[in-house]
Amino acid sequence: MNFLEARRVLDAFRGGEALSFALGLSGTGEPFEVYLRAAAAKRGRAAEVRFLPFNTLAQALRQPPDPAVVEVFLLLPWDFVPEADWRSGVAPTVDERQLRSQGMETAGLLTRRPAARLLYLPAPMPPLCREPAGGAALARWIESLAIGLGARLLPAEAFTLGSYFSSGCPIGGAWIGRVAEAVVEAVVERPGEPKKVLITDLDNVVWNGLLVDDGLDGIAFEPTGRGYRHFVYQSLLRRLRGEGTLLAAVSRNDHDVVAAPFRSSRMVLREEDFVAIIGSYHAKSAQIRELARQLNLGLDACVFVDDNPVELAEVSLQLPEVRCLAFPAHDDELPGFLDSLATLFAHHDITAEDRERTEMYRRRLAGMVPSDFEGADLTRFLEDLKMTLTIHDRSRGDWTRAVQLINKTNQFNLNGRRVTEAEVGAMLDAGGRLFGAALADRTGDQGEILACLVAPDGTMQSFVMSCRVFQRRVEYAFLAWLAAQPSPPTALQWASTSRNAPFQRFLAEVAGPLDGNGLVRLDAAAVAARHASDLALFAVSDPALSR
Amino acid sequence: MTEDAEAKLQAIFRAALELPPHANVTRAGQREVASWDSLAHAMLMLAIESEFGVAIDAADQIRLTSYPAIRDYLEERVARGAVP
Repeated sequence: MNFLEARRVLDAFRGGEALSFALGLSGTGEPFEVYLRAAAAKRGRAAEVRFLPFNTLAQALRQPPDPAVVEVFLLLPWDFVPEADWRSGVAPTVDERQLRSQGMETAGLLTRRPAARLLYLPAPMPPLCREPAGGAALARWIESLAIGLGARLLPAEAFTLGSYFSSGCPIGGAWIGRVAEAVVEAVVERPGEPKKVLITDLDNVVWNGLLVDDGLDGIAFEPTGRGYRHFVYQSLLRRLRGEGTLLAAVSRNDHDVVAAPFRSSRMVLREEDFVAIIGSYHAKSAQIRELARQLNLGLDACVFVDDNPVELAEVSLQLPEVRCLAFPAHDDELPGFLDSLATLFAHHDITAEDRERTEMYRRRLAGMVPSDFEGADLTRFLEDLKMTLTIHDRSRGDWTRAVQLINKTNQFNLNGRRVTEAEVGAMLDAGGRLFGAALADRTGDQGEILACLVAPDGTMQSFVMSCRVFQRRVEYAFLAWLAAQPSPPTALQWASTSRNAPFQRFLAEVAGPLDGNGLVRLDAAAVAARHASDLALFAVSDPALSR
Repeated sequence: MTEDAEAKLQAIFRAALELPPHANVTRAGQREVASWDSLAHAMLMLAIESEFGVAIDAADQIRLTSYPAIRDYLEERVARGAVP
């Protein structure tokens, strides 16, 4: 909604029920007013907005909330870490532990305002840390903290430095209308009503590890070592289920694979604790929408927990009514996270019907088929991740990680073929090529996540990618890059396995319909052209190859 | 600047500065227009960014205090291909 449109909406608005709220942000809020009033008018409501005075958010959070006032906080990184405020310049030195302690303090203050509506704008921060990776890790930590508090995520490009410097308004003209609409949406959502459905991711959330790669014996969920955080989470879910909360799981996996740990009798949670365990390679937002439809419940009754910021963004953008929470990356964040969950699902009086609700809904959902609808267009979100793909020629030197990836990856795997170092060495000596690719983004370093082995005759023998980076378009970008190189691969040695459905989907998209196992021809020029936009999502560096 | 763009700029001025519908704003300057205070200036800059798809640097925002200055600025951005 642009400025003139906002004025037109207001000119045509004949009044409606009052919508009163207080908006707090670090900066000037008043330029929002016309857009907020227009966004409310579009819903037939007459906005009455009170703005916190300039730069008083920190003080306001230390005052007890007025239960009669609906509070909305539009949070920026410097609300958690004041040294990150551009208007203060770049701090000469910082103590990272101190920064995080300040962030935790702000998070604690916000936790005491459970009725407040939170929005988080992950604006870029000045270079606070000596190492760029430290700054990226700090930004990711703050974002996780905000999401953990239940904040809605706004696109980072909504922040503009020019406006922030000149007037103190952190939102630029291109986004102010859309941010105002998000604020009004947050105000009108039904407050205080307990949520009904908790939808959880599985890998690195219900258990530690990747089930399909690490196997049942390789994942951890017991009260020891790396399993502890997940054990505690499971125990809270068990309690919530007993109080009437409906539990569901969505995972990018096959159903039978993800159900196995729940059938093993080794975990706190069992299969019958869930109304549905959905294994699907399609968008999680589509599964959640279908689940809510089948349960005949509103999306605003749902809470979604995941550890992957891309999955959280996809659901948050596609289904803004769903409350999204990030599973903590560190033990210190666990208490705040569990507290948020317990608050969202607070049940005061628990009836026998509450306790039996899961079984009732399980019967209703028996035979539910995962949805294959497409998810949100994540292009903007991915652009904002500022992803860097570093492609290494592993044909010489250290190929340990590349071989390791080929031998442990199951889902995104061209043919499931395992290789020995001797086989790889022989192929490379004969003129083959081995590539590895590492991914980094503004949230941190993902490490080496892709490997590709091409035989001397131009046939791709292995192509694998870690499922941690699904949805970031890395596989398309890499193939587009490879297809544009001199002597690109001419075919892929495809074989279907019991677990590589994600690769099958990818291959059908880049090479056309598949006709059984065997060689699949690759039209390199067409692939390079069709997926150039995917490649453009990344800053690609190929140090060894350019020499 | 095209006629449409000029008309849009004038509409933004009238709305952001709360001026009458037919007020001539082509010579308006911050010193002469009583309603052009710092808040109205912030709203004007955001409105121009929103309608013309540009991001205006802080230093430019401070010096863009009249209609002719803003018009010239937008024309220059158009010439540089910075306005979509």
